[in-house]
Amino acid sequence: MRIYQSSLSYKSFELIREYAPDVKVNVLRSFGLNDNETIRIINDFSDNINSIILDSGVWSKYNNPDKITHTVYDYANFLKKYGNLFDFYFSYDEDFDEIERSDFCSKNGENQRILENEGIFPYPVPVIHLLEDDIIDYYCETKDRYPIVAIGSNAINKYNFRPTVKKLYDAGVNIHAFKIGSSKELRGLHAWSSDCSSHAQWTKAGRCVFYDNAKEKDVDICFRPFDKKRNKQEHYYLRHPLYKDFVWFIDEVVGIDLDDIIKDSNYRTFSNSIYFWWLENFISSENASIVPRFEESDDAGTIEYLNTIFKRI
Amino acid sequence: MTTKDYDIIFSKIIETFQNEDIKSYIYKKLQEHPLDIDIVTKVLQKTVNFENLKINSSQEFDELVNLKNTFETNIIKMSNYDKATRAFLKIQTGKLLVIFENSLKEIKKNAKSRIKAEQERIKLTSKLFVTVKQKDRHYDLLRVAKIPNVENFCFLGIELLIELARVIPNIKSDNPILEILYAGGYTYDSEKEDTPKDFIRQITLGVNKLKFIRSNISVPANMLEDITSKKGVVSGKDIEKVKKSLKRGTPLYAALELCFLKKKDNDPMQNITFNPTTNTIDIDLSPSYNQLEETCLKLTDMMEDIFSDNYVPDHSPERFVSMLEVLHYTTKDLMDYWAKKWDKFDDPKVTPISKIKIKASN
Repeated sequence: MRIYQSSLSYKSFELIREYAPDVKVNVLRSFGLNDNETIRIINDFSDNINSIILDSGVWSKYNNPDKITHTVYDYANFLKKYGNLFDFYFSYDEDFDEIERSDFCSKNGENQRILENEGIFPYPVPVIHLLEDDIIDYYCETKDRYPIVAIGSNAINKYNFRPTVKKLYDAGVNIHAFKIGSSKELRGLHAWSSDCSSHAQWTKAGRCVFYDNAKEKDVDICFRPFDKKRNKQEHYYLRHPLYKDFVWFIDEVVGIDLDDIIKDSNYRTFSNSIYFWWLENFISSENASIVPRFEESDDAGTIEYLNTIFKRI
Repeated sequence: MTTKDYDIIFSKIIETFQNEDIKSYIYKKLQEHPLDIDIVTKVLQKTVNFENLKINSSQEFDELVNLKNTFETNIIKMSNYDKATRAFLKIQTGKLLVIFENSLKEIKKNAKSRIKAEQERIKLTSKLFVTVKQKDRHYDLLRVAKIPNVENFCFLGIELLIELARVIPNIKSDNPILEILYAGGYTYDSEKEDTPKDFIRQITLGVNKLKFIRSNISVPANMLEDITSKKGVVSGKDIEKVKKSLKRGTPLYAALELCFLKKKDNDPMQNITFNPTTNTIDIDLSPSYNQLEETCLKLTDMMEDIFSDNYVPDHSPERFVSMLEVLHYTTKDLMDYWAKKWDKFDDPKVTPISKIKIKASN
């Protein structure tokens, strides 16, 4: 499984190159007008990128419609120019709640058709927001046209999410599950890839993520004694039961000082990035038996090393 | 409020509006417009029982498509229309679309594969929607057409009906528009003459109240009125912002103020900003010393950088010396305070504070 990391900035890549030059991460970037950071990252850090994909940026547009005003046609123009730089790119699924939808058509479906009619090829990856039988059956039947299909973040908590992912996997479709970064959610999931932006959200609040091997789940650790509501932080590092394990992880695996993590959110982002790089390999080996089609790495040495990281903890 | 009460309200509205029955009013208006009455009549014959009308052949299907498209062309040509008549005609378009939608459902059900069904859908859609605007609008018209008794409320105009249609699917009622009216606090007063404007305001208030209730947000009546008068029908997106902010502990008043109402002078919440990344309102109520550790580390870094850069300022040093002095004594005071109050603060495992102080003063 691939965990595409969103919210990695140019600065994050500088740290990856400096402290972990051998690491190649999977990157999700979002489309934005007048934003050349994505192209700069591709140009300057190709050695640290395993795969890079592009999201249409409609989530940011949805949250900030006054400032972000791009349209499906702007996205099409960008893809015509730079689409070949990405392993794949998602459709322009701006109607998250599928309000504009009837039996005749849907806003998101029409946007997909617009992109295809504009000559964008390979076709953008469609994003499903509703896990209805006829929609899922359609994508099962069209796996040659759409070998990868994404499931939107608003559908990942639906009761039929996991069975739907399995159904599509069994039909030969590779699923990208939006915004899942938790080991608990990813374990046993028949998805080919997911993405998470936890770096940004966690680091801004002065937190990092790592793995509790005993409880087999991810845990957070924070570096400020209070949260934003003025409550004492339960996961404050100096009271954290896994503090020493985290220090070991930072020293031995990430290769930076604890002081750097405390004082600079860029280092926290870097630490989280290394964590998710580890997690995707760990989950891949955990899920290998249920998704044999996704076995892609024959680098046994690396896998073994990665598997020992948290076993040591 | 009983159904009878609703009927009284409704009668009252009609009386206020035109003093005549809605349908006869519409028919009278239709005569005044340069419309092809034959086409309108044919459409009304189809829409009278639109939910049960079946299309039996592809020829019948094509004829109905032609009728719908000609009908829409007629509406576009209409001049001097009033909004009630226009809404009435748009509702008929919506009802025709429901007929097609039911037919498409049948086609999809009987299709040999999903790919075949998709091909049929694309074929029908391209016939049905000649312009992009028609396609963009059809979602709304379908919803409006499905509101029970919607024609009785065509005097509200199609735009408000569209807004209503967006909340109505969540209201279980035989007469959801009256339900909304009730939620808006409408009370019948025989002494008072309501204008359509008042009525619309009341409905908008009701829609907003129901939208908030649906999201389990209890908005005080005066604030709901303020929000309604400033924003009209509130968007689901804005309500979502409020909901998320409340989850994060933002007080209701602050969240509503920030999302819907203009900031007031001297408002203590005015510096709080909406975070578009997390779709929440960020209010950091943590104490200033929450960032003491990172500040200490950053301060140390800055001082070390001075040595490595050999930086020597060329301005008058008095002010900065005074700052460092304050910093030095405040640090000493804090050390004394925590040494007394904080167990193990002067722990022998690390350099005792007393020694640090001696070292620092040398």
